[in-house]
Amino acid sequence: MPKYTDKFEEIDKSKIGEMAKSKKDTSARFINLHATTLGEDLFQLTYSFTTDGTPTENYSVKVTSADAVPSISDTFMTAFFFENEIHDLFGINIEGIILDYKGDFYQVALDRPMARPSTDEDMYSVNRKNDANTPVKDVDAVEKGGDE
Amino acid sequence: MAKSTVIPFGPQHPVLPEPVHLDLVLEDEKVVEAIPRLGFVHRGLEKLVEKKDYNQYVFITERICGICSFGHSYGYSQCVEHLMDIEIPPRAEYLRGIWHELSRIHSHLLWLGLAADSFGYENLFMQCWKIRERVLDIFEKTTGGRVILSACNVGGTLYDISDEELAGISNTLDIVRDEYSHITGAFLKDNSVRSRLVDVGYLSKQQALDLSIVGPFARASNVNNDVRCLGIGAYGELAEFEPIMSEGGDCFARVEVRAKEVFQSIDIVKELIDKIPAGEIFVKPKGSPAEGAEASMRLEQPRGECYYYARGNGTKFLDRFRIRTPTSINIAGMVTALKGCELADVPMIILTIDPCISCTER
Repeated sequence: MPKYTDKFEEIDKSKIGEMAKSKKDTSARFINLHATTLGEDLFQLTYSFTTDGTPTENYSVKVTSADAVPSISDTFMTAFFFENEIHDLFGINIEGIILDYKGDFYQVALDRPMARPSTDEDMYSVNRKNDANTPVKDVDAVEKGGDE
Repeated sequence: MAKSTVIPFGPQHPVLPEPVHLDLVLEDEKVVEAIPRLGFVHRGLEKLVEKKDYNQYVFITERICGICSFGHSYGYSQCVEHLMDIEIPPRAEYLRGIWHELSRIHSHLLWLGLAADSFGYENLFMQCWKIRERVLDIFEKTTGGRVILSACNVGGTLYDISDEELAGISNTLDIVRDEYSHITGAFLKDNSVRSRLVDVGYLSKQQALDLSIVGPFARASNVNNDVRCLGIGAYGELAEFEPIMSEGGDCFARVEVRAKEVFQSIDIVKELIDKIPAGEIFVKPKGSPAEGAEASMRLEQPRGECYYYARGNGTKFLDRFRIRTPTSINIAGMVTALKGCELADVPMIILTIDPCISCTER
């Protein structure tokens, strides 16, 4: 049976825009962009492309949260979804997204939840936002002026 | 110049059982821009690889979506097998192919039923779902589950299907084909349906290429991104495979592609049943994924190409697992198809793209 083939290649972050444009010029199709946490404030971005009948090409770039990563959404519009996702879940700063939700893409309870291994404390942290376990205000009492 | 108005669409809307929100910018009744918003029910399932080892995680992937549940366990297992360089028995590949194509039939019938309901054809809706029940009955008989099958695992499949049962499936599919052929005319020839769909929500071939659209949405714009053409697994054993394509690019073309794909999937399952080899169905994986090892995989789900990525760390737990679902890459196409349409056509355009928010909010 034919086997699936893919290839992985590491590139420098200064080459991201150039790589995206060269893929566009060769009619490659953008497949995916995702981040992986490699260590304390060290991430790997993986850009995936394919041209019909060729292996899936995955290009990885190592970045930190202090880096300003150029967006490829001006070349591949579809990437805006994944760049906003990476910003919200990993805290990686991506500049020039054509539709930038500025951290409001996912309604997550923790800041940068995918940037580090989760702990039990995360579940019960007072810093959680949009917490479904937070008691709802007593609406009747508020109307009567008895609760703020 | 007409004054712009913003109409909120969703996250609760009769046409979508799942939460997605669109800010529709209108000039009179015409949509000039649509700004999507998701993330209402993001579940963080990718992060669960920290807590579940690579064998346990199969059962998490199945719960990403109730419609593509088998497909996700199939894609995940293929990805981890590629990561660990495991070759599974040929019979297991065939069984996976059979269950996966049956999933496509039930997914398309479910969607066609929902589409019929949105036209106002309630009887057609019930006919589609009645036929779909036959496929769910096959699932129940072969795996014990109707939605979550738990039939696929890293190394092969957990269940075998006897020759008698395979013959029974083939006979059931003959009945499905017969019953389904009676109702396809309502989707493809009915004037009322055509008037709702033809020339609505047009997406050109060039736009589909530029936006990397996948699945029936792309094939309806004459773009072939069908991963089955790569011939991975049992698909490589088919005598021939030509994806169903259309040049229409509109809502009708999307209905046409899905309607015809049901027949194609029936043919694929019957061919796999005829050719399935005897033998083992499972090979026990040895060891753990190597530290720093990476692998990717692509699988054609009912809604289009799904991308899987896994990274090992030398233990039985993966360092990272990624699923890029078809809907997440089709969002840009959905927004583009909505531009310039009438407000009344918005629900139909969104429905024909068949977004699965459950998959997207994995």
